[in-house]
Amino acid sequence: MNVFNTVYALRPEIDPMPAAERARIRESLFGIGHDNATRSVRARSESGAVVSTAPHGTRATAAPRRRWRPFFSMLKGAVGIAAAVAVGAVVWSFVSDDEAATVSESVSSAPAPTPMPSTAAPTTVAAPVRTPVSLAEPLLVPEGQLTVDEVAISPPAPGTSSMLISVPDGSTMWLGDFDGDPPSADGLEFEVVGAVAVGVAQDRSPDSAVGYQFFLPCGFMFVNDAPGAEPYRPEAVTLFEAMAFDANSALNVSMPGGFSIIDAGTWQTSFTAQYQVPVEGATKTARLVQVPNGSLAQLTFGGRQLAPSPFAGDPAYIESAPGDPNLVSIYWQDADTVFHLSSIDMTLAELESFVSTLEATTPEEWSERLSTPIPAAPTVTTSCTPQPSLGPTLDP
Amino acid sequence: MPLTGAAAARLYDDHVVAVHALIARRVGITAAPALTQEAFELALRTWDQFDSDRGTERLFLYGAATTTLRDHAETEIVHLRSVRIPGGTTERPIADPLVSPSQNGAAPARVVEHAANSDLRGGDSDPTPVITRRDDDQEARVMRAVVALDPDDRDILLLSLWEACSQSAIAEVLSMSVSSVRSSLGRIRRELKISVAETST
Repeated sequence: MNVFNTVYALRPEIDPMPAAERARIRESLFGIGHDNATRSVRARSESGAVVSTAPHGTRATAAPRRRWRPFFSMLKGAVGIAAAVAVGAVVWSFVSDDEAATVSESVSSAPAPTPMPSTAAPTTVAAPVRTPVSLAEPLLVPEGQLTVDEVAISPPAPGTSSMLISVPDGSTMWLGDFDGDPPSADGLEFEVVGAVAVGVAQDRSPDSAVGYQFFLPCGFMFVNDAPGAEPYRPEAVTLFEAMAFDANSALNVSMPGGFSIIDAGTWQTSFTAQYQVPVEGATKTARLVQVPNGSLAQLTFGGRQLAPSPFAGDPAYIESAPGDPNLVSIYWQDADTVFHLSSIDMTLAELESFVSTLEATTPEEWSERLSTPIPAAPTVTTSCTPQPSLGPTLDP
Repeated sequence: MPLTGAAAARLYDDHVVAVHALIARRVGITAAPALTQEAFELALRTWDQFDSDRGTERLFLYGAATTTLRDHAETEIVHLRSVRIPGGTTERPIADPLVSPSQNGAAPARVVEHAANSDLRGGDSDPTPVITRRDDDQEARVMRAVVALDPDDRDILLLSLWEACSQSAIAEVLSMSVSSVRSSLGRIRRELKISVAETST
């Protein structure tokens, strides 16, 4: 059981406040039931009604903290995916990570208040929330009956991290860090930039995105630049010059001015389902990928061209140049979960409507409802000691 | 202007149980009534700060309760250190009986019914509770780590896990940005994990 689960399990159950105690405090606050007429609600309302002699502190404002995940900062540009990068990443070896553990029960709300006659205006309601996910229930499932024609749960990949970096010219670079035995360096042309040696494929197609490869003592790292960017363009060189690797092969970057981390994180368990969604008499397809405690960088493996765009009333990103022009592809984060929703035959409004029908659930319940077991994390096959994925300055 | 009269009484009647529960979880049932009264006094006295466009009455009262708890931090810490899981068992949610195992083949279409799950809990569908081993030492370590958190972080953590507050609700209660709450929760998770691991060795 991970730490958050333990804290949740330790939640004390509190019986409803005894009526006598409620009445006692009520009388103390409002004087109701007291003989002295001057302490009636009406009389007291003219003089402030509530009198407290106890000193009250003003709650200290939470200290500003480093925003590791500036999730909704501007993202522009795109990164192409080199096939070799994807293959290399998929076949990589992973070790287990208990942070992927999740809770097994939903959080119950506080006891409902006793309904009482009211002369006041109706109680205000909370601002609408796009999805009801929470730390305890980080995943979404349809609340009704839907046909599912694809279900998959992919294991976590400890030792693997990824990061989306916003570059001053508005483009985006994708960085993937993989611990373990490095792949072959055949076919790569190396240059030394700053403190690191960078390899680029010699037989790269001129119109393909540049993929930079870094070999580390016990791992490797890819940086995929935006499509159309020239090899070793100034922005790339500036970023590489800011990189350094410590004795554990952990990457540390002092982000140069104008660069920012859009999102980063370790590789977590992903939950994928493709649903057949009834829309005005037709059946359309929506694919939803969810990663609790994940990052946009994982969902955009290899890089994607994203643009900020509201979705269901809250900030999100839309893929602005998908390979299929009919594809509607949206990325967002609610609570600690990142989502990727896509469809080739549904409009953005239809996808918003679909999302509004989803309810929150736990990973265990998601797995059971869709009859798909949560896989165990693969074991390590590397001869190296597992390395940190990112250094202290970047470790999410 | 403080909230007074029937409106104040209505506010109290509508929310006192929830506010008391929040406070009782943090300081115990003995100290809770007095702090509940104090929280309502604070909330009513500062009611002019309530903005119905930003949040609900309940969240405003949670803010007052959190402020009150801050004034009684020692009481809270003593209580939190003593918190343990009642009974030390958990039950596993039951499987959805409407998904046929025979349909779990190679990418077949499957019909999944979710809505009935709540009704099925505790029914006769072989709930098969899974009993987990109680670990008093682990619970004590976790609560010590919770107590050792920065008070702001403790508020965020316990509002999230004990009061089922969303990140936007926590942001409203604690007058923070949602992004700060989100990033704080990730950091708190790491800090707790490290803290518990260190005390385990």
